[in-house]
Amino acid sequence: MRRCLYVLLFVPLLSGCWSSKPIEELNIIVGSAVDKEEGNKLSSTLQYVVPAALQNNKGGGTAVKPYVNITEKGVSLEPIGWEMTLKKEGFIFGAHQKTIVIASDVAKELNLEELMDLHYRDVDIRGSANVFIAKGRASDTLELSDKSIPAMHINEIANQQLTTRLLKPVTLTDTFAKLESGTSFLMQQIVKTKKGEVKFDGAAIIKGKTGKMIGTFNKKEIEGINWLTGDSKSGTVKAYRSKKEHPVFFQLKTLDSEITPKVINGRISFDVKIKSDGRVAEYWNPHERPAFENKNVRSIEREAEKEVVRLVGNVVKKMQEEYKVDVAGFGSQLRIHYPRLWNEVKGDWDKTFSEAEVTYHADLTIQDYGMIGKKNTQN
Amino acid sequence: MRWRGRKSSKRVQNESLQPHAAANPDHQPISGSILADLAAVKESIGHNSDVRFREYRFGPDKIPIVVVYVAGLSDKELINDYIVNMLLMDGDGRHINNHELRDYLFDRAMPICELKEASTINSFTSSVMTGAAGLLVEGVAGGFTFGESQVLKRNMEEPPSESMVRGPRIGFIESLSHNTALLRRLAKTDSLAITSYQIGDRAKKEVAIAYISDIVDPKLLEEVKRRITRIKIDALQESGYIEQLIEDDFLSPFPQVQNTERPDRVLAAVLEGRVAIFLDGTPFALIAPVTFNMLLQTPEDYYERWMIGSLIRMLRYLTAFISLFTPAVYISFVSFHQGLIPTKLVFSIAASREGVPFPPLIEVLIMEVSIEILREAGLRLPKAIGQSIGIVGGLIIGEAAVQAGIVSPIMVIVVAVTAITSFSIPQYNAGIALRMLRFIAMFFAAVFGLYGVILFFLLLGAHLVKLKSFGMPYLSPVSPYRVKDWLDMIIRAPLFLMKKRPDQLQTKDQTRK
Repeated sequence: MRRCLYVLLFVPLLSGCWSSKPIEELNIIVGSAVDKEEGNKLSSTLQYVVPAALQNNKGGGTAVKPYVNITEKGVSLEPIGWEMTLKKEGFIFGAHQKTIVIASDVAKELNLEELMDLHYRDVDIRGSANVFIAKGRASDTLELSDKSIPAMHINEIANQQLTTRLLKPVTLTDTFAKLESGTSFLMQQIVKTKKGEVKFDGAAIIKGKTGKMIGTFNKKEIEGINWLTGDSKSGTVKAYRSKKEHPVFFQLKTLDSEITPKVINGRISFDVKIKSDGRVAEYWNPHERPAFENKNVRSIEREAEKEVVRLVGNVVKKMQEEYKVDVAGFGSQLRIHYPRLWNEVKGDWDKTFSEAEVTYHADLTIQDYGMIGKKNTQN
Repeated sequence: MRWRGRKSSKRVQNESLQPHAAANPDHQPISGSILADLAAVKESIGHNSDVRFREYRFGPDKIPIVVVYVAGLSDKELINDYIVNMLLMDGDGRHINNHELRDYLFDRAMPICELKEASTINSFTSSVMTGAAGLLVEGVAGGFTFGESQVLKRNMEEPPSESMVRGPRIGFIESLSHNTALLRRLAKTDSLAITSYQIGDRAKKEVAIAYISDIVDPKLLEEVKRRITRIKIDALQESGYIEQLIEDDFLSPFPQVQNTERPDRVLAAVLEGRVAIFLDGTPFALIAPVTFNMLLQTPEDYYERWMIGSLIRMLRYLTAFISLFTPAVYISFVSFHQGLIPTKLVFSIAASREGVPFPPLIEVLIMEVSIEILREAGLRLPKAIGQSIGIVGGLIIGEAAVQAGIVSPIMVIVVAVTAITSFSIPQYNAGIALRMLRFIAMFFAAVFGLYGVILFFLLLGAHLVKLKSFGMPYLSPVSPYRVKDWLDMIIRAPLFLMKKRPDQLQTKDQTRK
């Protein structure tokens, strides 16, 4: 018994520093990009952080880029990763990866689920990393003129989600869930501008069945999607009747939307109810119709409601007619409310959806008009 | 107090190894023939330069008497007062015959409360050597001893080891009788019992245990008494000796007996049903049994209002945890689980560790050991210099080490935090115990990462659950689970809610009245 104890005492020493990796020897990756190369090959770019450079920049010394991008070519991501270790010392450490950018031409050709298999499989890489589609070369979006780390920069814009003109961030886990269930979905599209900035521009439509990108929505259509799904935290919508009228903008504070499926005689239809509270953010012509008067405020509400319905209607029409996919979660509402019916139609849901009728109701409430109600234009 | 004399004489009889003792000194009686007795006494202790003999003649019959005392030790004023008084009375002018003489002296001439009789030479000399004055009288078989050693005492000051913002500013001193007297003055109850023992085979010292007789669990009292009487040592220097000789597990890093200089703390403990142990010559009293949570409590928790007391107490639990685990957690995060650190912190840790030549464990060890050295150096130096050690060590060496790239700045923060937190633990030796365990935790972390830290926590938990202090589980009231006592553990409930004494102590009288 006692001898046994002594043996046990030495067990920790035998193991050494098992799987210990010093933090300073790690290559901390914050972003990666996948591009298409000639000869049916892929290229992958990893963005390594250079922590020392981050520290130095604070002191005001000569600014060094706080990151290094390394690109390698190969048939898939795994051999590319090993190829990279020939170029730069240290382990590739993916636990802090925030951003994954996939070039749109790769997304159009390859099934995303296969392409991203390494990311899903790896224990280190977090499911919370955001995935984007790049217009043009993906690796370009990780090389910006700004001094900050591009991958972090992109990720922050996505997570803050300040306006209705960009999508709720799509994480690695989200894409996996959608691809596994064969649900079509949207991914935020980013592009590098000529000035070397990154811009969030529209969305890529991924068809769930094939896992490939089939088209894009522009920013206006994303607005419609956001009003439809109620995912936005803030944003604005214009509320004027005609172009010649001066700008009036409704700024949303809360947004809530509800998609209710209805089944009448086997025909599936949807009713969308959008409810939002907000305020008048900009109102150029109060001297004509002062906001002090309730009827004027109500008329702004009605104009904004019309605009919302138009935005939502447009994008749903585009989904149904042009791409014939459901990327706004109509299907999951049907699954919740009519599970039996869903089992029958889920096999070809995108097609069934494109024939469904959708009605819209928007209910916007203006809670305040800000600090001023009327402009004094008398003198 | 007469039993004490008996006790001491019994002890004296056991001493048979004194080199200067006569052939059979143990039982050599004081005969009453002053010449023979004096010769025997002188043979036994007369060679000491500080032993003084002074002869007088007493009464109309001029009976020779001899006073024996130790210069500087015996209370001279007492000797002078009583001898002069006795000589002045002069036997009331009567002729006193031999068998009246003893009673006369005892009842009339020496009206002093601590007058004792010594029947043998050995018990007589032993009393003299411990500070009493001895009196040999011609014609009286057996000598008298009176008085105690003159107490060299200092003022009762606020104990430096346990300073508080609110609470009595008085602490124990090196005199046992003053300490017990102080306790009695504060307690003002007749059920406060103080029992003394003379412990030490060569140099006897008085050990006293204090308890409230109608509260304390008799089994506990029995156990404390048993352990104290079984101490076999030639001399007790400090109550730490007692602590080490009566503790349950000498291999445990945790103190199993609490020590304190504060009378209010001792009083609170005995009122809860614990037993306090005093030793003559040290201001540190011991309290037994002790539980883990007592190490993180101060009397001030009870003096301040309950919210303040509770919050500060919770803070101390937190500091204990930080003190124990911060370096270990740092090591495991930095060398194993970099993915668990927030991204921006990873960058700054990685940047700060850039160019540091040692692995985290070595780095932490360098810093932890050097701060322990600084602490020790600051303690040994005189107070005036001690502070500059703090500045030199903490600021200059720390800063220079970072500049030189030997350690990373974050490491310095970790070490400083753990050092400060370990000092905020009220019980000094408990703080040291945690510091000791911190090093073990660091090794576990360096080998297994967080898994090792958790493993260490489990081992520590297992040890604490097993540990007992005077038969009481160390982790009570957590294990064994006694929910009633939780009112006074992590929080300190309002006083009106704590109407019962600690359940775990199984007191005779459960309610506080």
